[in-house]
Amino acid sequence: MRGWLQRRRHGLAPALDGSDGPFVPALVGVLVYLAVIVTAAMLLVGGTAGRWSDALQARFTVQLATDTTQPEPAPGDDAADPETGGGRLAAALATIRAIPQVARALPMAENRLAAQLQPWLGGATIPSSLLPIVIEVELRPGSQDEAAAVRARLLAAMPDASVLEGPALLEPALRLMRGIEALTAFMLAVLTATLAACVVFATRARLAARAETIEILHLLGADDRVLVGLMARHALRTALIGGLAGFVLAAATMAAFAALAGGSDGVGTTRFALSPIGWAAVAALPFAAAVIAVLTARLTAGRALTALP
Amino acid sequence: MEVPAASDIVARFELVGLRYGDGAEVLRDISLQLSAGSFHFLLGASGAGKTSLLRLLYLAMKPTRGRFVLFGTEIGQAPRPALAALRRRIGIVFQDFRLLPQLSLYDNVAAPLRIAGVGEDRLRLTVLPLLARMGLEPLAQSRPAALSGGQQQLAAIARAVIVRPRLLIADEPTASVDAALSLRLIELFQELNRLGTTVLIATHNEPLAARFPHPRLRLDGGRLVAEAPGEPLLLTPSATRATPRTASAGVP
Repeated sequence: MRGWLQRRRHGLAPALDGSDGPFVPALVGVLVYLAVIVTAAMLLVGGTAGRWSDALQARFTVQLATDTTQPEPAPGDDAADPETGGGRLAAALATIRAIPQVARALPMAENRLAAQLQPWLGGATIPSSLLPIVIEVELRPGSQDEAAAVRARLLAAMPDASVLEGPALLEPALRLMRGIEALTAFMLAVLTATLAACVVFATRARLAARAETIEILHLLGADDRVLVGLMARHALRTALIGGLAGFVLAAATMAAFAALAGGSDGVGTTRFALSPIGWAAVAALPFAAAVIAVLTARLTAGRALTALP
Repeated sequence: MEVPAASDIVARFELVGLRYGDGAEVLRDISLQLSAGSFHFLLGASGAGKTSLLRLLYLAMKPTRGRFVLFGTEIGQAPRPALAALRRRIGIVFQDFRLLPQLSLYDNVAAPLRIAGVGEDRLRLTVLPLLARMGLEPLAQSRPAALSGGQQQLAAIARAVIVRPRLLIADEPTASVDAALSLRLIELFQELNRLGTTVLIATHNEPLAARFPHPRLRLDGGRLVAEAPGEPLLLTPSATRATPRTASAGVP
């Protein structure tokens, strides 16, 4: 059946074929080029935001309030050990480590804690007994979605503790990235609509240019499906030629930018490179453009043909 | 007079009128039926409405009033897909040939078969012998623009007859050819008619039509007049007296 259709349409197709000139394929090429770049940006921003969010969700710190009623421990005292930190720290570590989603829980070393406080305290020396007890917690991979539940469980077990959530610190940056992601998605929708409009005009122009031929085929008994199919076939070819050219140029552009932007930030969260799935997604765009072109051409031609008796 | 059975009637017009836009009617009160296997000439001066009547017959237009039944289908109520199927039963020779300039002569003649879904192998076995018979085989790969007027006329006729249509409509098919070829073409139509095709030929060449014993219809100012030495054309016996008034009033 398919072979029969192809043979039949192949024989009639030249009647409606003929070059539109470079304008339509070039326009489709530019639209696909922009769509590929925008989609790649959307995937990169979205992926990076997601990875940041996941990484920050998976890491947080637990701070135990300083117990000012206790005397400063003497050197060698159990309470001065940063690993055990006395009974409160040991109990807190035991509580945290008992949670299945927790991969690691370690007290922050005093020197790191002091370094983090240094911008606020200047050169002042703080007795270690006045430093808060801070425990760095890292969840097991894949447990990011349970981070809130883990924190709630911790706070329930240790009411005097407070949890510093990583994402809260970078929430504005993440919001910005999500905004950029939404903007690129909107731009992709605009490009898709522009492509459809372009195909509508091209199809109408072709219908007008081939009105005589279409009328003859119509009078010879060609039904609307055949004529619409011939128009769609032309739209498919035009869109594929333009779309694939646009994709190749966009891929070259992205490769150049990737080379300029360099590798990563060391933790693999801002690498300017698409994943294999990302590449598959952008590589599908010329074909998606072809599908849009075919559907648009079919719709436009189908409507126009109803003007014939 | 014996009234043909409905299945023997290819086309039937009942008080059909046609106008273009808001203009005056170019066809008025046409009442006519074409029986299966009949052969008619349609005569009339330029502007009499011959081409308009043919356009109704090959479904390029619909009547603005009256009833038109083709192959048993009421055209005014038929859905689009049904009209396309009806068109595939009709062979048309257009006055100005209307060959498709982008296609070769072979593909032009093959177009109705391709539209009908005939496979390429069978198509080749049908098209090439017909082109050979019309003397066009050496030109099979030529584009229409490379052909003479007479060759284009022959190609247009080949395209019309390739599907062995049930109804063949020819609009001035001899206008671009010499007298000898004109005779040959009418003989070709007669041959097709003997195989069962109903034929209607519009021509202004009355001497040519007079050489054949087929009934003649005449259009005058958009009204139909019968000049029928043969079978009855109009819907009532009195209509064969060839008066426009009788013809137009002949609808039961």
